[in-house]
Amino acid sequence: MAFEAKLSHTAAMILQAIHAGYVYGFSIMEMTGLPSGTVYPAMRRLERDDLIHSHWEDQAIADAEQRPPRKYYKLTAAGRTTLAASRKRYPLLERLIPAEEANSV
Amino acid sequence: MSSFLSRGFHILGCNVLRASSIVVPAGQRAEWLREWHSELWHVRRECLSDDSFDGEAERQVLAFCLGSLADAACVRRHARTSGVASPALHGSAPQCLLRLATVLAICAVIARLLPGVQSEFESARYHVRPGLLLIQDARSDNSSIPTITPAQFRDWRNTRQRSFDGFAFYRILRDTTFFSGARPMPWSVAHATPNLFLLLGFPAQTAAPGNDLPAVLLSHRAWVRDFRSDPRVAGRILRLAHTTARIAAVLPEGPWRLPGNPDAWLLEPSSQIAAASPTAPGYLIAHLSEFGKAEMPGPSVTITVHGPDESDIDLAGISICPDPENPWGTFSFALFLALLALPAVTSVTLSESNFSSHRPGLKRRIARWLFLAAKLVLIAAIGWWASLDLAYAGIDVSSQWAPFVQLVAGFVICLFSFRWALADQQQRCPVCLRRVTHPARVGLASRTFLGWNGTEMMCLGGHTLLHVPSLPTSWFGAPRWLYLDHSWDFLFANNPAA
Repeated sequence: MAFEAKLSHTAAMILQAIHAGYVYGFSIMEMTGLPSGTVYPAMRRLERDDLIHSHWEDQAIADAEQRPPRKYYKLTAAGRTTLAASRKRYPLLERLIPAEEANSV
Repeated sequence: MSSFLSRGFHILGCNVLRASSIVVPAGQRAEWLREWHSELWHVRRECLSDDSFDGEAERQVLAFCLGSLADAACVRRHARTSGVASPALHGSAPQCLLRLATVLAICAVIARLLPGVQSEFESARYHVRPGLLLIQDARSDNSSIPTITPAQFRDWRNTRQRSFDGFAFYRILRDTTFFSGARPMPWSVAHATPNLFLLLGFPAQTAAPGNDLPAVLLSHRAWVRDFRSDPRVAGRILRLAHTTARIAAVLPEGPWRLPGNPDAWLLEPSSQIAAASPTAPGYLIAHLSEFGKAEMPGPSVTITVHGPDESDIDLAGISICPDPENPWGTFSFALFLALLALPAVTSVTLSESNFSSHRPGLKRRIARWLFLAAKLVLIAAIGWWASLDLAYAGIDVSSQWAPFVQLVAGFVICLFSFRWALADQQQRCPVCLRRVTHPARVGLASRTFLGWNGTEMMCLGGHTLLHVPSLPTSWFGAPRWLYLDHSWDFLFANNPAA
């Protein structure tokens, strides 16, 4: 697959973080320790390459919690395939961001 | 106090986001800002506490906001790389005119910044008085060498003349110049009689303000070099060797190309000039009377005068006439030559050949011709400014090469740009004036005998197809338009250009 060879460690970390349930920019920043100037552009590239897609949270939910709505990110099918390939390339990826940690955030 | 600081940081963060959003393409800006403002709200809630000001946390939030600039740049890059030119704009007539106007504006701005071009324009504003002669010894071959003594000038001025109605004299000396705020500088100073500039026809005031001191007129070169083009230089006091003088004006460059090329012109009474060095030669400028003009036509005349010892002295009078070459005249000639040469480099046939009797409406045909006229006008204007830029970019304004460079540059630019304009016009859809695109080769000349072969191009709006023969024949020599009827509409249904 074309993206497997090109995916950087940063992009793979972000994919893994989204897969692990860190579904908005700031949570990904906190989980990966990457600055905003790295995380958001990387997410734009992943979205451009159809590895993730975004959607706005329902306004009613945000209003109920008295906060602005967030933009959530989710892996696409291609993103999941690419992440599986990236895990082979970066074996520590899963240990860096285990899936169960997302529930505690 | 802490809430005041916290509020200040919040405003700063919001402004950083707003400033970064300028980089984001307008169509995506609102959503981009919405996401970042939302994230900022959550970041502030996570990092900051309500009760006290935390400088480190505020710094982190600000660093988060600064990251938006990298994101905005990324969004901009994606829009640029992924964005195919909008079909509605692709090759359109306004786009073409906008590009030409941009080139024109760039050329005009460059011309405004080039001192050579400015000097040429400046000199065009002034006109040298007709009938002026530079008189010198006929034995001198070089007009830049002074040959007339102050005594000769005085004799001529004091004698009743039929052929001349005014004389002025000047002499070049190397004077050390002092003025406040600068080191003493050796200047080439022309010590001239007070009527010199009146004789030349210089319209500005040549008397120093206040009349208490002799007037000095700076050359444009010295004004730029030593006074850094200070517009308030008039009225300042200079000391030229032993003479204190007040600056009266700055002479524009160009129009009065008198020999000597001094840095300044000091206007002194003629008696003072003669007294300073009675035998040192200078330059004599004379103005022909009506009688003299009739008697002495032509650019140079020979004058014989009787000396005090009854001997004859031969003098030569050289006309000080303005340079007959002016930039506009040179460019007009280049434009004329380019128009003459145009049929030799391209086909100027703009008649429309098509497969059917269908013709676009009158409004569209007028728009097509207006578009061509606008292109040609813009190209001519570009040729004018670009040729000026090239001619006067690095060449001294008084160089004889400048008009030649302008002529060649103007000719080449106009000729090939007009050629492009006509070729471009022939490849524009007569209906929407958009350039036809997607060329497709049809047939091969080596394989088809009587069948048509050539290139087919289409209008993105779905109005026409253009067939260009690869080998012009007696039955298919010129490109032909095929107007598409409504049965083709479904092919272009999703095209915004249609």
